[in-house]
Amino acid sequence: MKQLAITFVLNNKEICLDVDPEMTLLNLLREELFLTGTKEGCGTGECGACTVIMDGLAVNSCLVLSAQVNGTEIITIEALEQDGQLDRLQQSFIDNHAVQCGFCTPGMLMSAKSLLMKNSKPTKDEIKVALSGNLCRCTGYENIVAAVEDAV
Amino acid sequence: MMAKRKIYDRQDAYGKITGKAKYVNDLSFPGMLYVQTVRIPFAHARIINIDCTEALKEKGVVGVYTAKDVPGVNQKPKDRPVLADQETKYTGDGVAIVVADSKEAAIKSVKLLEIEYEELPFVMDPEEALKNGAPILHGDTNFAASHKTLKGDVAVGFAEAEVIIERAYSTQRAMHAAIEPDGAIAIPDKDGVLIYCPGKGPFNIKRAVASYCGLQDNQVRIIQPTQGGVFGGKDSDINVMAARVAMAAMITGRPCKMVWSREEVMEEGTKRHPFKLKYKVGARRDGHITAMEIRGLADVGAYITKSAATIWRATVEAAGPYNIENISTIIEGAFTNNTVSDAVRGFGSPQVDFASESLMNELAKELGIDPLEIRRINGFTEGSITATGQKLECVNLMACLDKLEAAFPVHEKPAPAHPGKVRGRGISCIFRGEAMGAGFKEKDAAAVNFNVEKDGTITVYSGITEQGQGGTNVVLQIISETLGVSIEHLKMSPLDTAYVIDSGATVGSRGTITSGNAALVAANDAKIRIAKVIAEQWEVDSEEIIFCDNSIYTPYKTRSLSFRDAVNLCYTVIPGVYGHGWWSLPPVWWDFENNRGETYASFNYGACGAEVEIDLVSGKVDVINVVAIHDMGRIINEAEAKAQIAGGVSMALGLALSEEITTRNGKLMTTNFDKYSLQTVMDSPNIRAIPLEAQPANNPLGVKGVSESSTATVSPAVFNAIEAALGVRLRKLPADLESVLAAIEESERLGYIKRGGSNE
Repeated sequence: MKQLAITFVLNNKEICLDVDPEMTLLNLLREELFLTGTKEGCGTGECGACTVIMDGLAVNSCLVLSAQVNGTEIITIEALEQDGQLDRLQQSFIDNHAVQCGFCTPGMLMSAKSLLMKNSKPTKDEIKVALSGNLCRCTGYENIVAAVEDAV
Repeated sequence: MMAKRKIYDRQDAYGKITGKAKYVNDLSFPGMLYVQTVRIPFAHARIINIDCTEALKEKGVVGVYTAKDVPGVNQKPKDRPVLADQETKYTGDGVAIVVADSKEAAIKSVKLLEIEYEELPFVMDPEEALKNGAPILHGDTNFAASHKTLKGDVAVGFAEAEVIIERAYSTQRAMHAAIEPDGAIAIPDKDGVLIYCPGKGPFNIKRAVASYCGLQDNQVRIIQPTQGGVFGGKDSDINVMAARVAMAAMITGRPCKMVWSREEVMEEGTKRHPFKLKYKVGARRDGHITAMEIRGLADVGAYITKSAATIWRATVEAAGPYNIENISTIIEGAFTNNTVSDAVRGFGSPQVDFASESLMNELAKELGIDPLEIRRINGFTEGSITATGQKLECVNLMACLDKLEAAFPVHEKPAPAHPGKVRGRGISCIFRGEAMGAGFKEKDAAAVNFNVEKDGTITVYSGITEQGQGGTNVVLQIISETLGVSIEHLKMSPLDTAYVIDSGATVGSRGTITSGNAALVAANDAKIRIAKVIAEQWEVDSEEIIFCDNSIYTPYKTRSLSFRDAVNLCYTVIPGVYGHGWWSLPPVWWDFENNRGETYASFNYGACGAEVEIDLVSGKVDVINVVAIHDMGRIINEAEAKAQIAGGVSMALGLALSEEITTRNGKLMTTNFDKYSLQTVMDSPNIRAIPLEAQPANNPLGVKGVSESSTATVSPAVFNAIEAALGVRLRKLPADLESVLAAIEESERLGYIKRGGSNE
């Protein structure tokens, strides 16, 4: 497979890599860069477990090809905690008992983070829309929505 | 003894919110190979030949292996094989595995295998499967299992009845849909194999792999990574998958990994049993039920797994939580070429609860009695006798119904619906057997051990798995409170079958009952050990020693030591400072000859209220409010209990409204989450989860389980609400658009509703 040279900013670090242009961003993160916090639940953009922030927008990283990553800025779950300090959303997920099995949690947090980056005072409905692409089987969503509301 | 209502954070939360928690797919090992399963895209096929020539030429392919390469017992009668040998019985059956040095190469070479097979006749309907001439899956009959209960004489009961109704209900095939797909990694060892995999019963997986791979039980070691949801799954699927990677590791001598794609989870993974149920009920005009007759048929799918036990539970619970003198229940199971039916959260209860609680409303309507009232007239109270002849204690059904009446406007008219929509409310109530019950032979017990370290911290070992439910935190919380040591000083060790004691599988909502009580025994064991040493030093009676605030005291605090110093002192006097505790549920029994017995050591009770709004144009049902009340005996962690109930409600709403595995011509149509619709946050109603402490259960902690009951009450409440809104009864799960639209047309024809208006 022909390799493509790409440059992008990942969690505030500039990354230059030769990649298979058809590799998904999800596999690029997990397999090439060893960042396994981003999860794969369906591989088709239905479950949102692989959500990362790309140029400020929450995207399903399983649907983004590495060629599209060139020149963008990507934020993953690994960057939410800064210098040992949890992001307000992370703390709120603990405080609101919004974590059970935890497999959807990184994706949920990144969808919520992307929302709060654009809209610092979202309504409950806006929060629900922002999380509507993230499936959770454990919680019934109540505590997750409450956690995001609480972090606003 | 224990401070109540203290809020505990989950110890496992930090890893999960930072992405640091490692799930099976996050692990890799040097030299690791990737294993991919090969299947035949036909529901029933005879394997003629598998030609690997082209696949083996593919770069990176290390080997292709089939049933003949399975080192041990590939298949026990009627059960799942590691790889199908001569015949596949459903489209999920694996016929070979490809092992390659990259996942891409493994996937690519699967397509290069040339499989010659003969299409065989197949059967997808359990009723058809039991007819003469149907294609047979195992031996000489598709009949898979049957259980009965018989109480009194239904002929006498129906003769006493003033009203008799007969109704038929059916439930769908549904899936666990844990967001984490199943996976396993095997690492060969000089005398066995180490496997990293999720799963609810690590020791069951160990034994299954040992048998499949021709090893001794102690040659297989299972380590559990963090697991991403179970819901009754990650059971026989993981057994088969772990065996495939184990055989690959044993043959190649290298670590081998397999993680299913979502499509593979749908295709091969086990599902909830679909049930067809026929109920006949007789009652007097005053609402007292005189007889109930139940006949059911469950679709077992291609292999037996735990279907007999699932059907047994369904049979025991089928008549609902009601005092009925005359009951006859027979539920059978039949093999079909569908995906394998196995344990799913609820294990047979949600199916019969859907039917019996729909039936109660139908009977109430026939008699002109209020649905809550008919439940109160017939509902279990202290000392009631079940369908199996068991006398009940700690019965909290009426407390649940009272709470439901207080928390949900059962008798009030719904708020006006939006234009073009109608609203309705419905209720349900259930009882559910706790833990494994007499349907399984094993002693129902768990052990908890811990080591008190010299710095006063505590390292805990438990065989009960963390699936997301918060079970490990329960164990830590009980040890923490009993020894007066802050929970931050306690740590749960990863579950490794090399070190923890086999405590059975984390199933049947048994985690808190068994490991919680075992933790209490273990904590008291350590307490006695420490108190004895300190009491001798202080020359006081050891029973006077008080453990709290990370310290040890005498009454009036005349003497005190920090817990850490006390432990250090103990290490100079006794060989070690540890706690060990076993706890077993009281014995249960089942007489298979006479279909009677003490089926479960305890039962929990629940009640649910649901309010729906139905769009008369699209047929879409929006659930607006759900109130879910669950008798928990005593609550250990209220916030997590509520969270678990809310999750159970959400899963059950999927059962009620949207989830269904479908096939066409034997082929699976629901191949991913685009076609199999889970509840999203947009569908999610206001869920009011109410864990109820009416009276403690009959065990030292006084606890009951809640996971599965919360999936069992919701679908009948929703269907009763739909009936209240439309005046027309739906009897088939789920209430999809097509069936709701048909009900709307019927409702309009009968004059209950007018489209373009509401029922207000």
